[in-house]
Amino acid sequence: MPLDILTLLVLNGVVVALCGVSFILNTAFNRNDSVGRIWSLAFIAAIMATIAHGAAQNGPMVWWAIVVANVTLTFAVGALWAGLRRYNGRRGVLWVVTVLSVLVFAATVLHGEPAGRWAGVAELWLVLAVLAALGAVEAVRGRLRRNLSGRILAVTLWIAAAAAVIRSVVFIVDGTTGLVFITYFNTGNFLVLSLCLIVLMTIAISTLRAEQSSGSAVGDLTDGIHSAAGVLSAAAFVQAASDHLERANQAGVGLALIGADIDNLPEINVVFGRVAGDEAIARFATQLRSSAPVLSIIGHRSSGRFLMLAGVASTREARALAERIQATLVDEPLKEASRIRLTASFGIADTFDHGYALTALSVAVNTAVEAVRAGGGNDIAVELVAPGRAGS
Amino acid sequence: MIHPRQETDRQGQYRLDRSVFLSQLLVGSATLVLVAVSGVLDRSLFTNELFLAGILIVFAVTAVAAGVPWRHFDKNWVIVLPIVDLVGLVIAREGEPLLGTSFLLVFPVIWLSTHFGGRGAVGSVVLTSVLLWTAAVLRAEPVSDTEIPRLAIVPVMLAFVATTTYLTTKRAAAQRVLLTQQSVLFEGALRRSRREERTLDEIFNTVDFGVVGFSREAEPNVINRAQREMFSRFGVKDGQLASIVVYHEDQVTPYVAEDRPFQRAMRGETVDGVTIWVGEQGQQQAAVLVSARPIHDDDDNYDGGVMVSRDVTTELRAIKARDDLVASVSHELRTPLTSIMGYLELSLDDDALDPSTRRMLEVASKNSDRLLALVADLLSTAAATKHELAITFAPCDLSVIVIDAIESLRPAAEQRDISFVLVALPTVRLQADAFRLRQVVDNLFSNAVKYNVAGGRIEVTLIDSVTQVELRVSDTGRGMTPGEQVNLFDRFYRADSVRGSSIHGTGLGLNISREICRQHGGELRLESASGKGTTAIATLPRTP
Repeated sequence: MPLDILTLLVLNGVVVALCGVSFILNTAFNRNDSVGRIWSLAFIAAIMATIAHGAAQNGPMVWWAIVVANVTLTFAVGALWAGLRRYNGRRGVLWVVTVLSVLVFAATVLHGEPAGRWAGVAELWLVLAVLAALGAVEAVRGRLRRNLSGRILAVTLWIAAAAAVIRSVVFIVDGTTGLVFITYFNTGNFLVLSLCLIVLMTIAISTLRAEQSSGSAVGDLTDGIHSAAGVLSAAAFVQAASDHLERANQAGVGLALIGADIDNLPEINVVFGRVAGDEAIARFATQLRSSAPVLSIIGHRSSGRFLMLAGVASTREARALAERIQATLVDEPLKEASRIRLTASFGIADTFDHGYALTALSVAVNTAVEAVRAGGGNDIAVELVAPGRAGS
Repeated sequence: MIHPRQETDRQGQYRLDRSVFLSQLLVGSATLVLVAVSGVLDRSLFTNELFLAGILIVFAVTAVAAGVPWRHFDKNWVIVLPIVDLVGLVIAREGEPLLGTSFLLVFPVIWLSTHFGGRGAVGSVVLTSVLLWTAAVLRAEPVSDTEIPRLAIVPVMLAFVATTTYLTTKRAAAQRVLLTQQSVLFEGALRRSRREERTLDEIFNTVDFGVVGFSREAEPNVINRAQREMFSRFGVKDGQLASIVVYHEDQVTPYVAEDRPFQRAMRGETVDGVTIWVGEQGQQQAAVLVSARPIHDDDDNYDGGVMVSRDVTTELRAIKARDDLVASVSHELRTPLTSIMGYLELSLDDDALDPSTRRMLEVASKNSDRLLALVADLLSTAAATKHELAITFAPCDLSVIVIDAIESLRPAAEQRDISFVLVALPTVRLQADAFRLRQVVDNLFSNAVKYNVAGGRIEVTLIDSVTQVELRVSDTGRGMTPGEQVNLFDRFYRADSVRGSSIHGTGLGLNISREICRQHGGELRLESASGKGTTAIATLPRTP
C-alpha cells in the first residue's frame, strides 16, 4: 500500500508522540530515576525532531527546521545510548552526545540552505549509525547481558545502525537522484522502518525500566522475592504463607494473619508529595520488621497494605502483637511530612476462627481492615467468625 | 535487598529534580496537545516559523528540565525554565495568535508564582505583559484594533491566576508551618509522657508490692515484677488471678469465686485491705493483702482499675507466733501465781504476823493481784485473736456494773484526788455478759484514772435510747494527738509519750474492750484532743 510521505510523517509523529507521552508520564509520576529521565530526554528530542521534520517536509521549506531536526534526532539516539549506559551503572555520556550533536549541527550549517532538505544528512546518518551501534553494544553488556528486552533493543539498534550506514553510503555514492536511492533508500521506506523500530524500542525500554527497581518508589516494585520496602512481595508472601498454613494445619499450630493498612496514604502523597508517601511505606515496613516476631512472615500486598502471618496461641496474643506495632508506629515522625506520625488500620483473622485457607483468612482480614478504615482508622479489629460460617 | 532507609534518602535527593521536571512537563504536555490540535486543524502551521520556533523552544526547555541534575545547582537557576517557556510561548503566539497559545502562558506563570513567591508572581505577569506588548510593537504591520483588547486582557487574567496561586501557596506553606509546630509540640508531650511512663515502669518494678492494672474487659495491661514473682509460684500466668483458688484468713475456707478480691476488683468494686491465703492446703501458702480501686473515664464510666497486693505471710506468721507465745507463757504463769496468792492470803490471815512483815506481804499480795490481772488480760487477748472469747448472755443492769466499777476504783482515784461525776445513770437492763462488760468498764475507768491529771474529774454518762445504749467516760487528762490515736486499738500498742513514763500498762486493755463490745454487737471508740482530755464511748445495741 503506497503511502505519501506526509501521511507517513504524521503517522510517525503520532507514534513518537504517543510512545513519548506514555513513557514520560510514567517517569514523571511513577519513578523519577536518572535512566527514566535520560530516556524521557530521548523521547522529547524525538518529538522535536518529528515536528521539525514535519515543518521541513511540508510546503515552503523552513531551512532552520532541518538543522533542528538533525540535531534533535542525533540527541534522541544519543540519549538512548546514554540511558543504556546509566542502566548498566556506568558513567553518563550526555556530553559525548552533545559534542556529536554539535558536529551534526556544524555539518548541517556548513552544507547550508542550498543543500535543502538533504543538508548534512550523510554526516547525520553516520553519527546516528555510530550512536546506534554504541547503544546496541551497551544493550548486551553489564546488567543487560541476559535480558531479553536488552537483546531486542540491541537487534533493533543494530538494524538502525546498519540502515543508517548503508543509506549514507548510498547517498554519498548515488546521490539523491540515483535510482538505488530513490527505489530503496527513499524517505518513505525509511519512515516505515523507523516506525517499526520506534515501536520495538519503546516497548523494550519501557519493559527495562519497569524491571529496574533501583531508584524506584517504595511501591509495588519487587527485587527478587522482596518488595522494594524490604519485606516479601505479594506473590512470594502468598507462596510462603500457603506453605506455613499447610504445615501449621498438619501440626495443629495456631496462626494469625494480621493486615495493616497505612491510614491516609493518598492524602500524605497529595500534601507532602510521593517522597513522603514512600518514606511512610518504608518506615512502616521497617517498624513491622522490627516489631514482628522473628519467625513470622511479612508481605507487601500493595502500596500501603501489608500482611503478616505469625504463630499465636490465641486471638488475644495476635491482638497484643498488633497493639505493639500500633504503639511503635508513632515512635518516629516522618521527616518529609511536617513531622507527622503514621497511623494504620489493623485487621486480624486467625486459624482458630477461619481455618487454614489463606483465601478465607485474607477475606476476613480485608473485611476487618475495611471496618477499621470506615471507623476512621488507627484501630485494631479482630474478625471473629468467618462470614460463611456465621450461624452454622 | 535494598535498605528502605537508603532508598528514602536517595528519593529525597531527587525531590528537586522531580519537582522541576513535573512543573515543566505540564507546559510541555499542554504544548504537545496544542501541536496535535494544530496538526489536525492546519498543517501549514508547522511552516509558520515563529510558531514552530516557539513550540520547539518549549520542547527544548522540557528536555533541559528532564536532563539537568538540578539538585547540583542553586534552586534559583530553575527560574530560567519558566522564563524561557514564556518567551517560547509568546513567540509561538506571535506566529499564530488565534490558536489559543495565550492560555498556555498560565502554566509558567503558575510555576513562577508557586515556587518563587510574590516576586515570582509579579515578575511573571510583568514579564509576560512586556513580552506580549514588545512582540506586538515589533511586528511589521501595526497592531490591529481587535488585537489591543486581547493584549490587555491576557495580563489581567494572568495577574488573577498569579495572585490566586501565590496566595494559595502561601496559605499552604503557612498551614504546613503550623502543622510542623503542632507536631513538634506533640513530640515534646510524647517525649515527656514516655519519660513518665519509664519512670512509672521503674517504680512499678522496684517496689516490693504487686501492682496489676486491668482494662474494662478485665484484661491485665500492667503487671509489675513483684506481682509476677508473688503469684508465679502458685501457677498464675499473665496476671490471670482468676485462675487460682484463694482462702479466707483461716487458710481453710475457700472464697466463693465471685467474692474473691480479684473478681470484685474486675467488676469495678473498691477493695480495702482484704487478706487472702493463696496456695493449696497442705502445700506452701502465702498471705496476701489485697486492695483495689476502679478507674473511671471522663464520662464517669468504669474503665478498668488497679489492684495492689502485698505479701504479708511473714507478718501474719510473726503475729501468730507472738500470740502463741503470750498465750502459753500466760497459761504457765497463772498456776504458780494462783498458788503464790493463796499462800500470801493465808500468811496475811496470821494475826501473829509482825507489822513490818505484814506490810511487805501486803505489797507482795497487791503486786500479785496486778500480775494476775495482767495474765488474765493476756489470756483474753489470745482468746480474742482466735475468736475464742467466751461470751455468756444473761440479764444484767449496766448502771449497777458502772457503780460497782466506780466503787472499786474509787480508792485508786482518791489517791490522786480524782473525783467521779455521774452526769446521768439511768437503769439499763440488757442481755449481756456482765463479767465481760465489767472488764470493759473497769478498763475505761482505769485509763481515765491513769491518764488523768492530779485533782482531775471523770464524768460518767449512760445514755439509753430505743436502739442502743451509750456509755461515755470523759476525763480531764492529757488527751492524745491525732497521731497517737491511730493505732490505739492495736494489741500491745502504747503511745510514745506514755511508754517511757511511770504509768503502767500492757497495751491490751482497749483491744480487749473493743473486742468484747463487738462481740455484743456494739463498738468502742475514743474522742480526744491533745490537752483537752479523752472521751471513751462504748455503744451496745438495745436488746429486749
